[in-house]
Amino acid sequence: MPRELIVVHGTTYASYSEHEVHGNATDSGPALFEGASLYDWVNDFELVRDAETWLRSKFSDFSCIGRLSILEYLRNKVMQGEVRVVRAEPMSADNGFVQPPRLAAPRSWETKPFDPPYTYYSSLPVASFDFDGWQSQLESWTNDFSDAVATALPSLRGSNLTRTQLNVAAAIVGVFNQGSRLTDAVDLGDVTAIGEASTPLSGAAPFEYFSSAPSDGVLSMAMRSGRDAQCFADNEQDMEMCNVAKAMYGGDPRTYALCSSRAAENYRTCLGY
Amino acid sequence: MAANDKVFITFYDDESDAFKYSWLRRSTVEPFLDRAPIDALPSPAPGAPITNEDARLLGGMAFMSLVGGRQSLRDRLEIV
Repeated sequence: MPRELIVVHGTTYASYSEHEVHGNATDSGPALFEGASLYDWVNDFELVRDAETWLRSKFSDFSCIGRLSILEYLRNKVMQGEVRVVRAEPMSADNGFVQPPRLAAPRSWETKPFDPPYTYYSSLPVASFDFDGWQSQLESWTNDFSDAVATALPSLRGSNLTRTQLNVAAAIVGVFNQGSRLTDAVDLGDVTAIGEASTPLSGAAPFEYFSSAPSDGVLSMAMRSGRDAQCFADNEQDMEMCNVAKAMYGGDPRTYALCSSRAAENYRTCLGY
Repeated sequence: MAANDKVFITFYDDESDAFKYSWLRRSTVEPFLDRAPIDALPSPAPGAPITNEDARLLGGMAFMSLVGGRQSLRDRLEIV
């Protein structure tokens, strides 16, 4: 006599002992117990009570006390094949295939004891992010920065900066010069390397000022990157000297190793690490 | 260090297109030497004779250092 035993996710399962005839329904017991936590089922009093009643009627040696031990007894019987668990409802929809339930939550969890008047999210103040304002602020910062670099370039060209340093500076302007609004602020007519310039210095003001730009954050960034560029240039020169020593004293690898490791140390010190 | 120790310096002068040299009293440049990275030349070995080859190596390194990034001088380098 089949009996409703386990109700999981609203699906009713019936259990049979080994020799009971129950048609050709698939035994979903092992899958059911593999995917379930008995510690969840323990809180389902109705389920445990039905299981206990049924087991007592079927197995004479059943003498379990305690809800968990009752469920463990049932699980052992299922795993040993002495109990089969099949879906009690007709299985037209899934053609007999039983989806093993992965989570068997007790029914007591399905209803909340009360509905909270608000959630944490709803209690937060509504503050829409001013994306346009942020965008324009960002653009003005980059404008100022690229403007400052572009202004600096002509006077840098007159100095002893290496070709690499000038190219780096020109690249910085180029990066910030992508947008059409930025283009208006920067004159890129003279960012070629020394000796290759075909355009005169565009009449830009000499680079003398940093402290009146509107944002301190961008300023410190510019200063920082300027120092980093200097460190990089210094390191390039150090390594070049190392290569010179290597060219003459290449037979003594220690010389080059010592020189390059010291150059790396200087570079780290210069960067502030 | 001896009182009259000398430091030999050499540099390239752009205007006259000449390599120039000078001797300074070591006490004059000592504060700078203290802060400079200093390595020992690999040759000559301590106690070993100072040969033409040692002179070639040191001179070559000096010239190549002074040439640095100047392309016009690089083109003139024929040190092997």
